[in-house]
Amino acid sequence: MIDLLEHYAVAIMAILLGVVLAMFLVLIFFAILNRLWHNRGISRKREASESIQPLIYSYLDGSINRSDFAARLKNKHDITATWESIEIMIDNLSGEERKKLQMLLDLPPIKKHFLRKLNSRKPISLAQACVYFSKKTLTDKSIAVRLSVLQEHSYNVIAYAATLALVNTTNQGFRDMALLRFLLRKNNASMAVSDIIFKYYDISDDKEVAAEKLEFFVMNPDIPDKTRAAVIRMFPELGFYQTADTLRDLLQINVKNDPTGELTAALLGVLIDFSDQKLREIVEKHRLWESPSREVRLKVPGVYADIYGEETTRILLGLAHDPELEVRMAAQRQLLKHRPLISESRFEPDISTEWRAMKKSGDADVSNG
Amino acid sequence: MSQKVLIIDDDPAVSNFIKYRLSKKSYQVKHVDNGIEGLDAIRDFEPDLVILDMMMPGVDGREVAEQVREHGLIDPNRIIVLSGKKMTDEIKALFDIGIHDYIQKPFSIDLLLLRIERALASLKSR
Repeated sequence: MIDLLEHYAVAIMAILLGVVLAMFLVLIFFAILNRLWHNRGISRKREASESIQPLIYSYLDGSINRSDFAARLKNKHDITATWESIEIMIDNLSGEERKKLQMLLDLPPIKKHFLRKLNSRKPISLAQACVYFSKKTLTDKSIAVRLSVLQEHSYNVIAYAATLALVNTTNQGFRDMALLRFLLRKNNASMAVSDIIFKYYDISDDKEVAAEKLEFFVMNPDIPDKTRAAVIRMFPELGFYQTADTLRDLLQINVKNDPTGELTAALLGVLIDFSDQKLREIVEKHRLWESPSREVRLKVPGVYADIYGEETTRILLGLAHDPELEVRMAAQRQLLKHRPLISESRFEPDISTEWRAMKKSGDADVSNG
Repeated sequence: MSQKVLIIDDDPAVSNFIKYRLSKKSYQVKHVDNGIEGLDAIRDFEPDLVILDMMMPGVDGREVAEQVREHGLIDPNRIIVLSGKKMTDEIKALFDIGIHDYIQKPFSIDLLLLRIERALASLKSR
């Protein structure tokens, strides 16, 4: 009896081992197959890239035309290789070359490829499709509707790319709506906001109207302060000097109700850039050098860059005792500029000592720099 | 003998296009995709002109230009810088180093070729 049981036990063990071994072999087989398939994909992609790039160059210099190029697109590797080359080139080239590259993006096989991706569920495909539509001029309303939906996507990068694409439409109403929808989102990255604002303004036919729209958006309290601050920081780059009055009004309204100080600091920074003559009044009225926000205090010395006098010196010396190093350094830098006009004996002994120490380190800074 | 142009740029699609257009004009062109190889190529290839991209990972365009001047590899006036960003301070610093010219991306390829030809002509006539 025991022999029989042992016999069965051995047989079962052998079968189990056989099954495990077979599974192991099958797994190895699939792993090798997968690796071979992957390598084949990489080599086909490289081949496609090597053959497509010279074709793009020939197309750009007129050696072949758009139809000749289209006839050479044989498979998805060719389409991907075309897109990868054009995506970078289109950002780096201007004029005729850029127009010709945009015409290639409109080729039916390329457009079809990205339309499929636009309806995919994979975030990476959606992001790629949005970037594609942001590089070509968007005219199709049905795509605009889909992109509007993607602006609400939980992935910030997809919302950003969808907005870039929508801002690229020819319909001004769509562009404004798309921009507002994006600005109303929470947690937008400042860089993403700057990119979109720049594109929105850059391709606007009527720059004056675009500037007015942006001015209107920054007054909208429903847009998060961080986003409004990022939009405002773009104003000097876009040359919006005419917005100084609006920004000053916004500063007056906002200054008492800005817990993070982010919006106030952005407004101060831009108004300093604009050399606004009335800024000092607001700073002194609200004693912004006493603001709990480090960012706001950091901006205050810049307001006094070209304003000399007893009050200025008092404020700057106060900031020179700030607990934050960067604020102290900013104040010190301005004090060094004002130095010939300041009498040391007029200060309290401790301030005077601090002032001498600052002068000494400032001198060292200047001579080292 | 044809004049030699070295392109130091990490973006292959654009630099290959510049190389393609320059080669058609019978220039001898070499392309490297980073600053360290760029410095080696300046020593070995001895270019008449360098097209240098500003933004590169690792050793960037400004560092390359500084190294060129510091070690006297070539006259920094043989460098044309390409950059995608308006960085006034950086550009000033590059002109202080002594670069020949600065071209902002996006650029027209015809304009770039014209500036290259003019730079080479003015350097040759010195």
